Order: sequence, then structure tokens, then C-alpha cells
Amino acid sequence: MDDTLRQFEEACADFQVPAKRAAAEQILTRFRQTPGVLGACQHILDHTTSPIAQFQASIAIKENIIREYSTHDLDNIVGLKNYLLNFCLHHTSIPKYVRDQLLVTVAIIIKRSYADSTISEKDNISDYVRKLVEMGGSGSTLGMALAGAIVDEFSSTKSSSMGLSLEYHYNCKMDFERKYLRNLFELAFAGMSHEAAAATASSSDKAIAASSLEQSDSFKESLSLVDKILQWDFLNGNARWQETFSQTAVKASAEMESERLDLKPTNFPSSWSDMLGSEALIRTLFGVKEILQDNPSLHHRLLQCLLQVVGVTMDCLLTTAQANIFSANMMQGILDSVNKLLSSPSVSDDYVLLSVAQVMRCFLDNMPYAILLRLDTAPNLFFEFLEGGRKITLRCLHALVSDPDDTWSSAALDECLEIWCKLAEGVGEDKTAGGSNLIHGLDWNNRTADPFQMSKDEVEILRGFLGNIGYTIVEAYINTRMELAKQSAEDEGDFEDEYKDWETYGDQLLCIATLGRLAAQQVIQRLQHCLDDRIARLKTYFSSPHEVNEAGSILALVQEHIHWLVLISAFVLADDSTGEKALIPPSIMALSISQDSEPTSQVLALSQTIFGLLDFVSQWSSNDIEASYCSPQVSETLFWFLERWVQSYILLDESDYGQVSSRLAKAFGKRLPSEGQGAEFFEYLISKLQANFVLWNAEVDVLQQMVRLLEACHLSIDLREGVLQCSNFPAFVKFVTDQLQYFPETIHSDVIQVLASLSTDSMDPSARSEYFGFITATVENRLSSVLHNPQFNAIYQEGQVMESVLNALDMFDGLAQACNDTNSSTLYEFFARFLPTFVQVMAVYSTAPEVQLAVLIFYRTFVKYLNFATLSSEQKQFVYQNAHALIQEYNKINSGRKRFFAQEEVAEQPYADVSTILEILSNVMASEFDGVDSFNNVGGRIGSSNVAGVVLYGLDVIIPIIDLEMLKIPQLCTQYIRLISNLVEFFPDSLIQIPPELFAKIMESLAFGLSHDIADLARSALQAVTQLALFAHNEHLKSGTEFQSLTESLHKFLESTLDMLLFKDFDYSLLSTAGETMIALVCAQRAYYNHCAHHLISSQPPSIQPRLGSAFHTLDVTIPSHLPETLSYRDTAEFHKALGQFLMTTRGILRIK
Amino acid sequence: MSDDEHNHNFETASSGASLTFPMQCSALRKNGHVVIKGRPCKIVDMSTSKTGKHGHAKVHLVAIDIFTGRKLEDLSPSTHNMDVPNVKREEFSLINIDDGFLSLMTADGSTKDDVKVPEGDLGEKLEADFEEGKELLVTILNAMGEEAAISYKEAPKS
Repeated sequence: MDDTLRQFEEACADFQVPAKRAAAEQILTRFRQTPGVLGACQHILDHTTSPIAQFQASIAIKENIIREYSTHDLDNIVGLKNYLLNFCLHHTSIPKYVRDQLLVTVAIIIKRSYADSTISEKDNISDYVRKLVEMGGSGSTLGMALAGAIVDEFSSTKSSSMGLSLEYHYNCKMDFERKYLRNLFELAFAGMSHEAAAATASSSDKAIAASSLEQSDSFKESLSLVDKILQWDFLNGNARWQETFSQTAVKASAEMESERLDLKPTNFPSSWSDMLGSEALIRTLFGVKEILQDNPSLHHRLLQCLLQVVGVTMDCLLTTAQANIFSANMMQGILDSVNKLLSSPSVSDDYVLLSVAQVMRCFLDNMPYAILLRLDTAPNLFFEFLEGGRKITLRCLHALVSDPDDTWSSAALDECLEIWCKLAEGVGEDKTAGGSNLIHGLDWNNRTADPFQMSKDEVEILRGFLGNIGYTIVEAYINTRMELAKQSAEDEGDFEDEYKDWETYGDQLLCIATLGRLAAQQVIQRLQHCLDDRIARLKTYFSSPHEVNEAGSILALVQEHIHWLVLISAFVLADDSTGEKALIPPSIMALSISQDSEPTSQVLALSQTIFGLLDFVSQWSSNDIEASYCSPQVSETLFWFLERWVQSYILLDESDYGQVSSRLAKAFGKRLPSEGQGAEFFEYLISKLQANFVLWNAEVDVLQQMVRLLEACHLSIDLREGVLQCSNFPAFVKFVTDQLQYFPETIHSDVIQVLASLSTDSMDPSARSEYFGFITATVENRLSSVLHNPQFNAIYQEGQVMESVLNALDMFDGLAQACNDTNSSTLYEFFARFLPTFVQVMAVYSTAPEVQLAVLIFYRTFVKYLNFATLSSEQKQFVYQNAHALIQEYNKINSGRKRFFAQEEVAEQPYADVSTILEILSNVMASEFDGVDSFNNVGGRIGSSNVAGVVLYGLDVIIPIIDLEMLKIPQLCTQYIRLISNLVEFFPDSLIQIPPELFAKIMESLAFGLSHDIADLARSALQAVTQLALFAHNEHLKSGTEFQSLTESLHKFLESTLDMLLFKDFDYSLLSTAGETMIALVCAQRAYYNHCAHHLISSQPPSIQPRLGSAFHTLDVTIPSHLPETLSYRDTAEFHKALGQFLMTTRGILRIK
Repeated sequence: MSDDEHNHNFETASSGASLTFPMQCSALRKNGHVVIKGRPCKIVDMSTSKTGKHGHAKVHLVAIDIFTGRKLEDLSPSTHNMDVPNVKREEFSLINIDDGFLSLMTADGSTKDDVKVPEGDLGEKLEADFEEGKELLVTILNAMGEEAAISYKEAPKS
């Protein structure tokens, strides 16, 4: 024995030395794997003084007991458990990591024997913990640590693997949660309170109290235990067998970590509510948090505890009385923290700032305001609480100025703003402020009876209060942005804005706008004042250019100020119209109405100031010296402002509002009935666009923003007609199309697309045909002028000629993007004339891959956007024929070609040609279903065409090019698997006649998709297999035919589907799809299924065979003898239900943890 | 920098086209060509940045020398002109490989013996395939007075 001890100690010592580590590790591993090594381990523990040796020995014990548990009799096991506990109790000086390892082993033994233990044996566990705690000192520490280890072991996330079914783990957790968790929590909390009380009693100095807590092991263990139990994922008696699909569980927990805290609801059982809402608990948590605020890690632990408690929902609190007690205690606790925080002058404790803001937000997220307003015991507490929130917000803004990169305070600011935003929404800013008719529409008086709903008076009071708070915060925010601008203006380093400020700070600005609208008059006044001042300064710089050069950074500062002021104005004045046209915000409308008879309307004035600014910065040509003083960022921001603003304000519709400001209606409204001048705005808009297309012809960002503005106009019927009817639009279209080649390539097709869409979607037939004719003529000329050049064959490779061809193709692509349901037949007429031409272009440019790619890209766009339902079958055939011809030409040029590396494609779009061809094929296939109502014609197809023929031909060309390396690129892989799956799903009949090699390749690809990690790919592959099996099943039923190669494939699919369902990590969301696949496969290949099931059962241990057998039997009776021709969920509902049960049983016992 | 190096264009006798032509930097294309440090290159990446948030755009080009495969980079204001090489690609039948040079023939029967066997992998495969007796079509790229074989494939069986 002593030899073993010496060797073991030596190996442990060597393990610390890098050079000897590998050898030592081998010795230790071998030792751990030795059967019956427990005795030796105990000997080592008893005699060694080396902590490392103790640690390694305890690991060995743990692994051994997991492996050999069943070979020991119960007395031995209990003996071992007691030995380990006594060892810990009597060796108080062993390091924490050794002790914890020993306790993990104890916890494992407890859990492993849990099912065999009687109730009294189980109760012994908590008694034992209690006794240890009552011993005080190191006994108490050990008790808490033991309880912590047990809690971990019974939880779903931290339990050890012990080779038992998931069902076992689950049952243990459920029972433990119900019987012992609360006891342990009370024990832990009492211990923690006791330690804290003792520490504060011993000294009034916070620092001394803190250090005594920091040094108390017993305190730290009890805090850790409190935290663990508060984080417990309560089952609340609900069966959640989905947990056997570990992949979903893993994914869910990963999401929780990445998302913000509050997404995890704290689903405490309602029986815990008295304890969680108690003053003692809340006071203690806040009190201890405050004492420990200079210790980041302990402070963080307490914060986590508080966040769990504060997340208690009304589901747990159940009664208003309990909610009142909880709220009062919680608000008082938070308020005390706020006051203490504000009284300390230092700003270094920013994580404390964040923690207070987080607790505040979580609290307000969960608690109905009505309850907070009606606290009889403390009627003003809620307002004091909100005032505290205001101070915290200002403190955050202040902290941000002193250190803009401080992530703590910026996160704290976001939390605060979210609080205000939510409160502002809660008082129904948009529901009540402007549309006074709306408020009468609701029966507010009846609502007062609802304890969760505020009365009308309460809403008014709260809104008034928030208005005051709102202005001070928005003002402080503007000041903060102006201060922060100094830093960004001084930074002359390279600037790459991957995200725009309105995206990065979108949430923040939205909150500021919501808050600002509560005090719209003051806020707009402030914005107006600042903007006037900065614009005046900007003009001064332009008028004395000599000073500009010296004051470059001051110029940048003014520009940055203007950028932010315009941004904030945009958010205050208008909402985002993405998806649905946003109306002018009610409070803004109300403000304007209130000023209709006054000399100035603030809303109008602020908008006009911004247009004046756009006028000023648009007046130069790109070669003027002044253009070099202009900021592309400011111009981009101005056009972004317009994009947002124009959708709400221009041609505003009076019928959308209860009451309309006559000023706004006159300035921006329609001619009828408002006598509005909105239509005149378009002249201004188009002239500014043209001027800025010239000025910023080399600035992609500004150009793209202008295209987005045009796109916004296209999407609104009123704005679209306004643009088309304005007199300078034709000249603008001509200018853009003529000059297209001088603009960056990235905007080419977008510009053409938006111009074509604007015109083809016009309500006015003459405008439609005029503009459409104009645009198509331009596009056509562009191509013809090159191709019809008599010299073309001699000069086609010259750079400028090729450039013209590419530009023409960009224009065709843009035009094709404009195809939609209404204009497809018109556009088809135009494109049809060129389809054969493009095949020829491909042939001519057989040595220029960039031109080939451009042709493919056009064709891709064309088949993607064209609505085939509007075409005759001859027209469709023509498109398919040309797709076939194009791919044929591509194949002729590229088949078997080997390229020099420098000819490879752009790094970020690898294999662009292959990817584009896959897209063409997918879209050709999808075209077959254009116009099919997916609700009425499940899986239906119109007519018969050779769509499948084109796709199969394309695949035959493309499959030899695709290798596994390429399939590692997610986008390419998705396109490929989708295409294959859809082909198999919708055209299973077409696979029967194809060459065996191609068939094998397609099946192989499908199998690859079936096991793919991307759930959507696996889903489409599963759907494909379902249809394939159904096809085989139906053919067999109809004519008795069986296709040999198909049958072999179906066997493989059946095996892999069963394997996936029963044994693999499996995405739960795929279950119903996989269920359909399974039933179709079973019905198509029943004999083989029976064979598989039999094999599966017989390969398992005899003890579980009967259970498996009966599970299979229960499932089998729900499988019909044959299936209807098309499968619907209704036909198989019974099977799906049974499959759920089946998997719950079988996965629970087949999957091992 | 490119302005200084390319202040004149060489005229080629055969086609009358210049070796290069100018284009505004912002209008260049990915996958297109450009001259960087006097070398004809293919653009593989194009991105923009600014000097300061309110500065004007500069275009960052990453390109590959079409003859050497060497990576070259350039940073230029987006409004500046850059030279774009006229790139000509022509397909020839391979009739022989002699002392490291390809012996090529055009469709109209004229021959060409001054292009080297490409270096590296491509050249090795080309020689191996030729040794096997395959009928090969080689694409020769010509830009700024230089030539090289950039790809080849087996001639379609007629």
C-alpha cells in the first residue's frame, strides 16, 4: 500500500512539471481506471499530506463509484459516503477544491441511490445538512457546501453523467424539487442572514463588515447555495420530456446566456411567494449587496440573487396583498440602494450602477403599475422610486461623458432608457395624447375595478410626472451626445461604419423619442435651438474658407453635432414606416394642432430647418472646393431623415387622424380636401436627389441611402404617384440611366430596379407606358449599341467594351428585379427578345468568367422575380429552353476546365457561378408553382412542362463540380441541399428514368442533408424523403411496381431516420416533420421496418427489451395499413401523438447520461 | 501613386486599343481588373473607409497580380482615376510542349511558341494531361504586353 501511495504522490507531483506531465497523466489515468481501486484511494486520502494527491484520489473515487456502483452492496456504499463526509469534517484544512470534489462524490452517491432509498433515508440527507449547519463554524461551511453539491447534482444543467437513463435523472430532479429544495433554501438563507447580522453587529464600519464577510467561508458557501437555489429551473410538476432532446436544452441555455437577463422567467412555485416577498429576504439581499459593493464577484452573486427574486411574476404572487407587500419591500430596497449610490461621489462603481438599473427594470417589467400606484402603506413610494430612477439615468449619462467606452455605464443607460420607454408606453402616449376620440372609445371607468389596470386619472397623473422627468432626461441626452461628438470629431483615424448610428443606437434613440414626446414642446424647442446654432456655425465656416482649413476639426465637430441633432429630430418627429406606414405621432400632431393659430408651428419649423440645411449642403458640384468641406455622413443622415419623415408627413391623409393640424395639412397634405401643397414637395425632393447624385457620385453610402429613399416612395401609392407626376422626374431618370456607368457598381441594379418599379407600378396607364418605354429603351440601347457595333467581334475584349456589356447586364438585372405580379407579362415581352442573345453573349465571352457570371446573375434574377403564372405555357417553355441553353453553353465552356489561382473568384463570394446556377435551377423549379394557392392545392402542380428536365440537366452539369469542400460553405450547401430536396419532394416521378449515377448522387446528397446540423436543411431533406417514400408507396399500391434502386435508398433512409429519432441529439422542432417521414417510410417498406425494429430491440439489454417491445407495439397499432395519396397531418394525427409517447419512453431509456 | 507611374499609355500595334484606360476608383468592379504599382491585377476585394467620420470615402483595393498571383493592395480616394488594363483572353490548341514553352495554334492555323508552361499545380497538370495524349485547349491571357496561360480544358470531342 505504501508503495502505491509513494508512486501516486510522485505522479501527482510530476503532473505539475510540464516536462513530465504527459507521463504522469498516463499513470493517474491508469490508476483511475483500475477496477476495485476504492481501498487504495482511501488509503491515499488517509495518509497523504499533498492536496494534489488528495484531489486526484477523490477524482478516482468518483469515477470508480460511477463505474462500479452496481457491484457494491448498499452497506459498502453507505460506508463510503460516511467515510467521505467524516473525512471532510475532520480535515478542515483541506483546500476547497479537494473538499468540493469529495462532496461531488457524496452527492453522486446520494443521487445514484436515490431511487433505492426510503423516504426516511432521503430525509436523513437534509437532517444531516441541518446538523452540520447547526454545529457552526467549519461544520456550517461543510453543510452548505454539501447542500450545494447535492443541488448541482439534482439540477438539469450541472448533473454528472452516471450512465443512467435521462428518465432517471428527470425523476430524481422532480422529487428533490418537491420535497427538499425549499428546506435547503431556508437553511441557506438563515445561514447567510446570520453571518451578515453578525458582521454588521461587530462593527459599524462598512469596510470592516465587508472584510469579515469576505473572509467567512461559511458566508460564502451559504450565499452560493442561496444563488444556486434561486437559479433553479423549476419543473413545477410539469412533465417536460423534451429535455431528453438534449440539443434543444443546450440551445435554450446558450440562448439564455447570450440574451438579456430578463428573458429567463423565474417560475417559482406559488408556495414560495411568502418567503420571496418577505421584508427579511429583500432587506437582507439589498443590505448585504450594499456592504459588499466593493467586491465585484460577491456583489455580482448578490445581484444575480436579487434579479431572480425581482423577476417573480404575478403567477407566483397570486394575490394583490402579496404583491403589495413584495412591491413595497422591493421599491424601498431599490430606493435605499439608489440613495446610497448617489450619495457616494465616486463614479468608479459603474457595475453597481448597472446592477441597480437592472434590478429596477426587471421589477417594473413584472409588476403592474396600478399596484404600485395604489400602495396604501406608502402612497408616494412609487413616485419617489421613479425620481430615483431619473437620478440614476442622469448619473449614467454623466458617467458616459467622462468615459464613452465604459460599457458598464452605457449598458446601465440602456437599462434606464428601457424603463422609461416602457413606462411611457404604459401611460398610453400614442393611444391618448392626440386622438382624444380614442380615449372615449375605451370604457375606462369599468377598468378601475381591475387591480392590474390603471384608471384614467392614474394614467394622467403618471403621464404628467413622466413628462417632467422626460424633458430633463432628453435634454441631458442631447448634451451628452454633443459632448461625445468632441471625441469622435477629434478622431481622424480610419473610420469604417459597418453599422449606421441609427442602427447602433436605434433602441436608445427610440426610447429618447418616446420619452421626448411626453414633453414634445420643450424637446422640439431645444432641438430647434441647437440646430439653428450649429447651422449658423456651419455656414460661417463655408463663407470663410481660409479658416476652415485651420479649423478642420471644429468643422467635423459641427458636422457631428448636426448629424446627431438631425437623427434625434427624425426619431422625435416620425416613427419607422417599415412594413406599415407610420402616422404622425399623436403627441406631435397634438402639439402642432395646439400651435395652429400661433405665429410659429414648431413641428413645421423644425422640418423646414432641416430642408434648409439640405439645400445648403446640396448646392455644390463635385469639383467645387466647397464640396470638399461637405460631409457625406451629414448628407446621408439628411436623406435618411427624409426617408423616415416623408412617409408620415407628405400627402398625409386627414382620414387617418381624428383631428389634423391645419398647418401641417396645408404644408404637406393633399390638394383635396386640405388644399395642401404636399405635391410640390416632390419637385424639391427630386431636385435634391439629382444634385446629390452628382455631388456624391463616388460615395456609395450616400447613393445607397438615396436609393432607399426612392424605394420608400415606391412602396407608398401616394408617394409613388407624387414622384411620377412631378415635372423634373423624367429628366432625373434620364440623367441617372445615362450616367449609370460612373456610379459604383453596387448601386447599378438597385437604381434601375427602383426607377422601373416606380413607373411600372403607376396607377396611371399613360405614365406607366411612358416611363416604362423610356427605361426599357435606355436599357436596350445600352446593349444594342455595343453588340451591334460592326467592329464588335474585333473589339469585344477591350476593357471599355466589356465594361459597357457589364453595365448593360447590370441594367437588365435591375429591370428584372422590378418584375412583380402586375407587370410580369409586360416585362416578359421585353426580356423574351433578349434571352437567346444572352446565350450568345455567354458564348462570345467564353474566356471571360466575369461576363459569364453577369449573364447568369441576370438570368437568376429574371426567373426569380418573374411571375410565371401570368405567362402562357409557350412562353414558359421559352424561358425553360433558354435556361437549358444557357447552362449547356456554360458547360461547354467550363466543363473540365482547370484554372490558375489568380483567376479564382472574389474571396467573399466563393464559387459565385455555381451558386448562381443553383439559384437559377431552384427558381426554375419554383416557377412551376407560381400562382398555385398553397392552401387549396397541397403539392399540386400546374400543367406539364419539362421543368424537372431542365433541373435534372442542370444538376448533371453542376454535380461534378461540387465537392465536399464546397459544401462546407453554409450558403452554398443550403442552396444545393434545398434544390435536391425540392426536386425529390416535388418531382419524385422524374427520378425513375434518370441515369443510375445521377440517381445515386442525388440520393447521397439527400442523405447528407438529412443529417445536417442546420435544422432547416434537415427539415427539407426529411420532407423530400417523405414524398419519395409516398411515391414508392403509391406506385406499389397502384400497379404493384417496385423500383429496385429506390427501395435500397428508402431502406437507408429508414435506418437513418430511426437512428436520428431514437439515439441522436435531435432538434425538437423537427419532430413533426420527422414523424411524417417515418410513417411514410414505414408504410412504404413495412417488412424492412419490422426487421429494423426487431433488430433494435434485440440488441438492447434484456432488462429493457420488454418495455421497448411494448413501446414499439403501441406505436405500430397507430400506423395504418396504407396511406392516402397525399399525406396530411389530419390523417396521421394519431400516429404523431403516439410517436411523442413512444419517443418519451424509448429516448428516456435508450439515451444515457 | 498610380498617376505618377502611368502618365502615358503605350499603343499596341495590333488592335489599336491602348494598354490601359482610366476609370474613377469608385466605379471599379469586384472581379474586374485594375493596375496597381504598375502591375495588371484582378480585384478580389473592395471596401471603403473614411478619414474620420465626416471624411470622404477612400477605396481599399485588394487585388491579385494576374501573372504572378502576388497580392497587391491600394488605398485611393474614391474620386480619383485609376488605370484599368485591357485584358485579352484567347483560346489555342496545344500542339506541343517544348523546353518549358507551349506550342500553340489558333483556329485559323497560325502558331505561337512564346508562352511558358504555367508554374505550379496548373502547369504540372497540363503537362500530365498532354502526356496522356489529351487534346487540350489553353487560354492565354494578354495584358500590358505580358502573356501567360491561365487555364485549360480538354477539347470537346467532335
